[in-house]
Amino acid sequence: MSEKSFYDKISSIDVRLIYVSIALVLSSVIINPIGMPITIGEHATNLYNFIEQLPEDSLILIGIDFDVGLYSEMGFSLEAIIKHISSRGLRFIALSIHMDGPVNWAKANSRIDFPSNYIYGEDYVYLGFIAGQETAQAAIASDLKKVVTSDFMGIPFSELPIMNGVENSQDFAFIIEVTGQGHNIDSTARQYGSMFNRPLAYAVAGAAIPLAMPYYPRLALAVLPSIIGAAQYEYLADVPSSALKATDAVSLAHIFLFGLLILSHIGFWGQLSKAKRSGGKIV
Amino acid sequence: MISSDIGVWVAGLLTLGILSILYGDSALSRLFAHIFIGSAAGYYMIQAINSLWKSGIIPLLSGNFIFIIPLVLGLSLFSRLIRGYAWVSRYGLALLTGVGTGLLFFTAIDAQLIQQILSVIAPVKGNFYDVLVSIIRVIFFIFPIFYFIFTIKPEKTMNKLIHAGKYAMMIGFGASYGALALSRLTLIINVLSFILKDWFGLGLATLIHALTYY
Amino acid sequence: MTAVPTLFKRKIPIAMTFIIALVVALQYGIEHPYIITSSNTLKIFGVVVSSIAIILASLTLVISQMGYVVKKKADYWVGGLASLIFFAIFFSVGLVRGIESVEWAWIQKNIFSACTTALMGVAGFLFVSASYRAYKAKNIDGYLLLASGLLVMLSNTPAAVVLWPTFGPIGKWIMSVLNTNVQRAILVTVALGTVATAIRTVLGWQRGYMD
Repeated sequence: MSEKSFYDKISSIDVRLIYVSIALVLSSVIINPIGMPITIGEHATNLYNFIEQLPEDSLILIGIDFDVGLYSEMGFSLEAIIKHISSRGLRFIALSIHMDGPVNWAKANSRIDFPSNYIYGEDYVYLGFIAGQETAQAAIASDLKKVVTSDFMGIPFSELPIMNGVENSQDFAFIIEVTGQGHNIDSTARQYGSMFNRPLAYAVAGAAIPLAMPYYPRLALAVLPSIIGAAQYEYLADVPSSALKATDAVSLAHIFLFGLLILSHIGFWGQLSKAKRSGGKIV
Repeated sequence: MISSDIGVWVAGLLTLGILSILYGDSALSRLFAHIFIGSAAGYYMIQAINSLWKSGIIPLLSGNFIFIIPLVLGLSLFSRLIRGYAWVSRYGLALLTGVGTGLLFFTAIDAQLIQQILSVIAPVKGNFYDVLVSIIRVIFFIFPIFYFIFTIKPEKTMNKLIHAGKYAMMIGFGASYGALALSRLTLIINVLSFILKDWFGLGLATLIHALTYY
Repeated sequence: MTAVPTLFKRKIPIAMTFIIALVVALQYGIEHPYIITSSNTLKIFGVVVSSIAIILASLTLVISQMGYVVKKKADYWVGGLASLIFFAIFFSVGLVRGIESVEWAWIQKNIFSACTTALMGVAGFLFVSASYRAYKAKNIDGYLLLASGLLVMLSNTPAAVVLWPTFGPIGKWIMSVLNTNVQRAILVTVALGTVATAIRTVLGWQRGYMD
């Protein structure tokens, strides 16, 4: 059996070695972040400026609709946005059409230090999971109080002052959809943006950025991209947290993947040219 | 400092069990995958029951007897489990499909067709660079559409347009791959952060402390 | 047993789909109180039926896991038993103690959330290995995909943007001009297909949803 060439060797590295390598490389910066600078994008700036100029009595609807496993991508955006909203004294109603929403709310709620004068039931409320995806969004946008009659803990709306006078989507100054799924992005644009002409913004997973961008700028005023957008928003809103700390790891992970792709292609192109010279094929 | 919370230890052991899938398929990794399946089924069922209680049962108990209709239609879905009576579920599915398609008709045409076309044909103004970008925008919008036209037999010119559309889509999908990389790499960071920080309490101070102690 | 007439099996469900879709769609253009009230009521009905559909889906999963245990399929029955045990834990805690309880919060955080996060982590690692093993540019399509992918990746790398600031604008330009308009084209074609399928479904020409 012929000996493996250099190109064969670099094309056939054991994947477990790759897993261990990337884990070790990222662990070093997770334990000890370096603090690399970041650049602020237009979407984070648009969203920040829009929330800054909202009148004080504004009510915002936040859709928490992402897998709990994607918390690092969108959960940090959610936390930064909520911190900004609460620091300005704006009110928000959060709900989920994704079943993992309640877990994400519990996680975000435990990590956010609300101002002492920001009271649950008066300034903010979480209505829990409502089944039906787009049907639920359409029902909420049309007549919220007929769809749900209590918050996620079962407290009736009569005991929640924030729900007074809230009927449908027209009562919301602004809608933020935090999601990683393409169909949620489309359904939000259809039901809130197209049907009721409400201002929208998205905080999306990396994989969903291309799916949300077509709605910018006509239907959505911002598309906050994954953990990078979260870090930018934390910086703008002056609420430094996990996303800013993770940017070093994000950088290093990308550099690792970049290097891996270059390595695999060097090996592949080397094998191709060797096969062409010897008149054979790569299997 | 390593966590003393039993919940974190349970979460950590489950995390390592599921990560063992990366080492190779084994009985242990399959066991943990099944634990996830069971947990997810239980969690989702409880969330659905809660949603049903809030949206369907409470209004019914409050005297809104019209809610018997969706409850009966929903229960008709269970007929799928009974051999020979699966057709009864069509009534529940008719409601879901009817509402779903009704919601789509005009909103899809507006949000996903008209608004998209208006975004592309936005008035061209500014300097030469802006005009060039607008032209590129139109090209990258129109050419991929040619790729999806299957009702015209592709001839010489059409073939060239289809190929141009394919190349435009490849550039677009490459960008999508770059965005996907951001997403997937963040997931790795998420799980490693939990293991290192939340479970083992590793941070610079802890590491230095451990080194000087030994 | 006498056969059920086609009227009940097929025609009435198709008619229901048509009427419901029409009423809901009309709300978009007609602001008559009867249309709005009927449409809103149908949407709320949809929410109720959807939640029952999720219960059915979870039940079907549990039944399939029970099948592994009862039939004692090698390798699977231990997994099936484990999934049933954890299903029982979540179901009983959720039903007896409620989702606002401390116990539910504990299992939600330390079991469900941990499993989901770990599974997503596995997906992340598999993405890296798949990129290494499977992604090989062989022709012009592959080179275009590789080039734009690498440029966008570099624009998402804060360290790279600090090293050479032009990476940022290049990547963002590719995303906002090239990729976005390709996605718009796909969105337009999908929308046309969606509306066509919706019309076919509502008119009863496409009955796949009934199976």
